[in-house]
Amino acid sequence: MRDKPFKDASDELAWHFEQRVQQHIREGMSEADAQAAARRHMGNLTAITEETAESDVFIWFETFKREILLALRMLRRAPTVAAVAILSLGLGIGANTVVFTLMKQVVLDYLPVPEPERLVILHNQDPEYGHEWSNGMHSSFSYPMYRDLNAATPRIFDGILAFRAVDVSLSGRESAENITGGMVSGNFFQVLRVAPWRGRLLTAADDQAPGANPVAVLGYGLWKRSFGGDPGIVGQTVVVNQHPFVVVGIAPPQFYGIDVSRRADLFVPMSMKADVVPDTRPLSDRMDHWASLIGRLKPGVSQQQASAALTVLYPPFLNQDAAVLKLSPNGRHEYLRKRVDLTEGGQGYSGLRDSLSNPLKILMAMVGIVLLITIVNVANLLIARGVARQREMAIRLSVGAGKAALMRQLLIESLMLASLGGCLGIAIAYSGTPALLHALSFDLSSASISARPDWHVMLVAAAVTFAAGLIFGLLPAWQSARTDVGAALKTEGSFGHTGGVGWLRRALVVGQVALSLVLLTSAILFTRSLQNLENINAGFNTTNLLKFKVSGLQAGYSQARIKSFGEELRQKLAALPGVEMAGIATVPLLQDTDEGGEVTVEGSSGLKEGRRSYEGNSVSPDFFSSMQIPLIAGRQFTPSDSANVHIVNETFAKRFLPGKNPIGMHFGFGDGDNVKLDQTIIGVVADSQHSTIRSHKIPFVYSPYLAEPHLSSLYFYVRLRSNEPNAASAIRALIHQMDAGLPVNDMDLMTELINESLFVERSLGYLSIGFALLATLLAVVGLYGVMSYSVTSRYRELGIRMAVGATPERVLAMVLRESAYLGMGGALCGIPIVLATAGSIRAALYGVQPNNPVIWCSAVALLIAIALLAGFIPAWNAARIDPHSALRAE
Amino acid sequence: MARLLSKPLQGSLNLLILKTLSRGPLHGYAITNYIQMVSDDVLQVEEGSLYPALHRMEQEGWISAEWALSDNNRRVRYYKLTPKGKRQLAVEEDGWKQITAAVSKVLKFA
Repeated sequence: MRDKPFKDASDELAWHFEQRVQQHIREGMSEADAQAAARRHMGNLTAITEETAESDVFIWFETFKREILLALRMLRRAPTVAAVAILSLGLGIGANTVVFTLMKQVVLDYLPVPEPERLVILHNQDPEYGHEWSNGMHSSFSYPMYRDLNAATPRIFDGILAFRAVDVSLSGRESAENITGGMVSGNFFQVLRVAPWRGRLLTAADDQAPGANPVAVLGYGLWKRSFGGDPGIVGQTVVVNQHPFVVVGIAPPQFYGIDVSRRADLFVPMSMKADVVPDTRPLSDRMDHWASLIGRLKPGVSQQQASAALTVLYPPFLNQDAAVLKLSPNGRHEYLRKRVDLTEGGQGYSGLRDSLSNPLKILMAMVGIVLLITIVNVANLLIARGVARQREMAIRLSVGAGKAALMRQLLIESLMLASLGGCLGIAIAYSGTPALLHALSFDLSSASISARPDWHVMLVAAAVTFAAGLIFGLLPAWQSARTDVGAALKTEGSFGHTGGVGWLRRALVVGQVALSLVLLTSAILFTRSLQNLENINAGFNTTNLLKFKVSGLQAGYSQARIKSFGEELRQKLAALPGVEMAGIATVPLLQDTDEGGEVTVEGSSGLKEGRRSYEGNSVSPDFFSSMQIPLIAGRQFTPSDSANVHIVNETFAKRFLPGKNPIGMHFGFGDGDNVKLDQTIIGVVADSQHSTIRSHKIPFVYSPYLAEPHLSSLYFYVRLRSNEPNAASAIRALIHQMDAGLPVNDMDLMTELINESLFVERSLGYLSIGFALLATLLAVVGLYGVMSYSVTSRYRELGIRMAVGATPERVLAMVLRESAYLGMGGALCGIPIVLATAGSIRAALYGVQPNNPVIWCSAVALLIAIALLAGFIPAWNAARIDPHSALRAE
Repeated sequence: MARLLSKPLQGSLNLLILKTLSRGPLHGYAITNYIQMVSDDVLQVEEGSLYPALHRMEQEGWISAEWALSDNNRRVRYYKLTPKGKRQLAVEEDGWKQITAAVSKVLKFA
């Protein structure tokens, strides 16, 4: 194919040539002589044409196109190499893109607000007394404390906002739905500097007298989803938890609140707390900790300055707390030493970030290693091809092609491979991420996270692709530029010199094996850790246990009605044919939820601060029998128990009442000298896991739920007779028959819940196995390539050995030994990397040590076995060399 | 008579082409012929220098080129001076005069 500038120049010169011929003829020459003379005069027409065409600035583009076409032709000539390279690169880049897509949103992204770097999160230090309405964020403040801090810091902060996510039911135009709402301080949107999409956002005036401003701002997503994006909704009324709220505006599209893992769809002022979460403590309770605080630093104020200023401002407010608490002088002294810690808040809060950032970083490292192995593998393939093309290169060099031109050609070929692999990778990521998340049963619907890579991620993927192409392209290009023209042309190809290229390829394979060892070891570790977690004894029988949640309060039930309904349902459940019995708890099990505080037990005053904490749950009669938690001493609850009788767990008894009979002993809630020891222990049960499957043993207090003054949702635990597939629908039908308007949520088997709670560990386990397999496979391909090349190039030598008496077995052993050495060398190089990285994955493991020598030794043994396997076919071929033909093949 | 190749006159090739084209549009062959004729066969522009130079000058915007059809229907490329080229011609002429003056002085006194 001739490109345009070339054809133009060629036409132009042809015309010139003809003119000259015509002139010679006019001067009296014969046609043949005229042509010869013109040719003599003008010299090499093609060279002139080329030079002329290249004078065009645009020539570079045509050259580029020509070289790409040439590169494509070269790739077509070796389709297997190209396919292996593109496929493995695609997988490597795809895996990196998938993980980076999640990593970016979960770990790296900032809140979509102006100047997020000026936001700081306020953390409350221990000791914490009173009631903690845990948000999973471990840094809650009371509302009065929030007002105090915000009012006292106008010189440090543009404002401090308070936020609290709550589940609410929203009755809009059609049907009711459960959504995540945000209770926010009046200045929430001003502090974040978010502008309204429609109408107005909340202001400080909306957050004044409790209950006075029933106004709400809708999230953009909810507005589109449930209200069809109708701007007329502004000014109308929606019903939140049975209470009417007037919609005053719509938040902008990207805004999700301050927690990317839990998108808030509705924002109401905190002053409306009593309507949104009825029957909780009043807004003015200084001992009710429930709000998360984020401040926006004033321009020019550093985090350190703000922190120092808060240290001075905080004690007087703590003093007010202390007055409410009636602390002992000692306790008061310690309490007043508490400080407010500041951490960067530009990324907002994220439960997901806390739980996923470490696993994601581990995954990122793993896919990084996979990509590195892929690159090494492709470099190895290309070097092998470079060797095969040595004669071609030598010929091109000897007819005058520049070394630079040859290297450029080879680089273009590798960049071609890289971009094809990159396209495949991005395609895999684009269609694969949602599928992967689905396969891992990861639900993003409540989070503001997209499974699709955005253009930032695409850009990074493209840059990685380009870098990869450069890396694996430069090695072979450098190799072939060193081609010794004479030597390459003299040797007849089949006995190419192995020296120069051989060591490089071996080094690359050793590197591949070393990296595979790292992945293999982590795969074994994560699998072992997952097994450990799956075999944890929860302390109760998890099979055939069905759980669900009934939210009586949201349906407008009174406290008395919640209890009578709970008992009635419990008895009716027990009467169902497939059900043995049912129990009720007020704090769900294994759902990352806990309630608790401090206790003072009679005769145990010597215990240090912080050793008196407990967790608690209020449960129904029959709860322990339903869960099959063994009762060790005393009795279970009965419906007539009063609020001050409790059942404790073994850890409680051992820690606070060692060597004593706990039954009948007294204790009090709270800490300090004034605590009344008016609570009585009536029973002791065995320890069981409560907030998570992997939690440590902690003193536990169970209380009778029927005596509890503030109930909202009840969690039912139903012991089924056997695996009853119809139990769920029978139970739903029963509840529907009792009250059709009562929402029933989260119905699931306990085993499913445990499975879900091990999501992160399972993902790490499965993905690490997948990556380790991929890495090992690539290492096998690399080893195989090097070994078979080694055998081919030593064809004559091996033939001579056999001719002088080496048995096939010895040749086989010789080749296998070489392969095993490569594997061993790689493994030896890998062990220091394994040990160096051990620390960074320790936190993600359960019940297994990352530097466990048994584990990495088995990984090493596995790799050596794999190396032997990879070397077997080349070794077999070597052992079957016929000495006669090997010697003749000169 | 000895042939002076255009090589020593590389710097002046642009000047010669621009000056030639200031008389009107010409194709490449006519340019060589013209220069050769006017210089009494002393200056013979080689094709290997002429065409790359023409294309470079076209990229500089000093001359423009267009294809026309010859009497026997062949594609012929004509070059024409642009206004920018006219300014460039003046610059090159000045430069040339300075250089020849300088060279003459050296010849006189050396």
